[in-house]
Order: sequence, then structure tokens, then C-alpha cells
Amino acid sequence: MVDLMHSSPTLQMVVPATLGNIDKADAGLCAFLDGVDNIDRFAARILLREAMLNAVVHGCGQDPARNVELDAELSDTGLTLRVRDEGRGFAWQKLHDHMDILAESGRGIPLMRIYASQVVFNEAGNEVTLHRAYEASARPQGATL
Amino acid sequence: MTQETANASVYTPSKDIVASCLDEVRKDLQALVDGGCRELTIDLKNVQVIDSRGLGLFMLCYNSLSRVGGHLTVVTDSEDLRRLFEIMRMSQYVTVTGTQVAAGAQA
Repeated sequence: MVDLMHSSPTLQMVVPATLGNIDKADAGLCAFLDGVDNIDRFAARILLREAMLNAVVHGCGQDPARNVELDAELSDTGLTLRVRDEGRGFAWQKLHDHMDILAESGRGIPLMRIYASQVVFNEAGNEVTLHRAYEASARPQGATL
Repeated sequence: MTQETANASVYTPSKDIVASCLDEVRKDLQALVDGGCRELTIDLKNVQVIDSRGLGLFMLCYNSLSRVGGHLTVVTDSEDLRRLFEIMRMSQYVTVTGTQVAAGAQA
């Protein structure tokens, strides 16, 4: 079940940890960003999907009895996504920059780092906050500069 | 959807290549390679987003084709998708081209 409170400029969702709910969260984000033309929509979708994928697969083991929380917020500086799962987290401090191009896995965190202006994990590693700045050529709608 | 001629095939996924639908795409691609396809083209005209799992599937496909002397081409006019393949350095191995170039090559 998707719990969606769409009161711009914030979006909050709590979904069971299934792959299908990543698609629902993505659709929710697209609706949330509808009419916002100064956020790179593709980058935002990649960030949401990778954060949710980590939470659903690694954090919750795709256990639908566990939930994943998503918060999205538009601020003066850009879009902030916060994804939190009910898992034990992981040792994000031990992440390394090496990426095997020919490997089938290992691209999630690199994608976050490429498409986000800022990536911050909480201490336990079961929550990530991603910030994507507004495109330089455009001003944030409704924000004071 | 798949179009096949000799040992070449064009596979056109019907939607985004993301974790929730990878099994189906993986099965289709595996069947093509197992069936003798060596020049595989994946047309991304219906695809807006590919996640990390989807990108991994492309490399799995590339690795399978490489082992039998084959080649993988991705066709897309999406600047976002082209850039995705470039920044993940996958375009070093997979040919990424636009529809006009691909059509010219077939003519």
C-alpha cells in the first residue's frame, strides 16, 4: 500500500519493501515534480530509484513486512530526497571508489554520487539523504533568490 | 518485441529497464544469445530510465556476446540515456548510437 501525502513542496511515502513499490515511488516523485522545470527529472529519478533499490534489496531483503520511507522536498537550493529503511544499515564508511565496468552489480552508490550534488548516510547506514541542486540556468519556482 | 535476420536481432523493450521487470528482459536476451544471435541491437525507444540493475543486465549481455565473438549495440535518441552509458564508462564496450545512425548502417 502506498501512503502518499502530496502537499507541495514535500512528498512523503511509506511503502512495503518490494521492487514494484520502487516504481510507485518513482511515479509519485514524477507527479510531485510535475511543473517543476528546473530540476533534472532524469537525475532525480535515478537518485530515487538507486536509494530505494538499496533500501528494498539490501536494507529489507525485499521483505514486504518491512517498510521503506521516502521524503522529497523542494527547497531554495534544490531537491532533497531522504530514504530510510528498517534494516540494520551497512558500513558506508568502507565504500571504495573502484567500479568494475564489466561487472553485473556495484553501480548503485556510484550513480548516487554522480547524479547528486550531495550524498549523506546516517551513522547506521540505513538512511541516505540525497541533494540535487537546481539547474544553473533556471531559478527555483516559488523560491526567493 | 524482436526482429531477427540471420545472426542479427533487434530487441525492443516495451518499458523502462529497472529492477522490477528485469527477469522478463533477461529471459528474452538470454534466449536470443542462446538462439545464435551474435549481433544484438537493443532499441531503447520505449525506455526513459535504466537503473543500476538494468545497466548490470546490459553488461551481462555484453559479456555473454563477447564470449562467442558477438557484439552489442544500443540505439537511443535520449541524451540522458546516452550520457548514462558514457559516465558509467559502458560505452567503451557497448556501441551506443542514435536511430538515424543505426538506420543508415542498415541501409
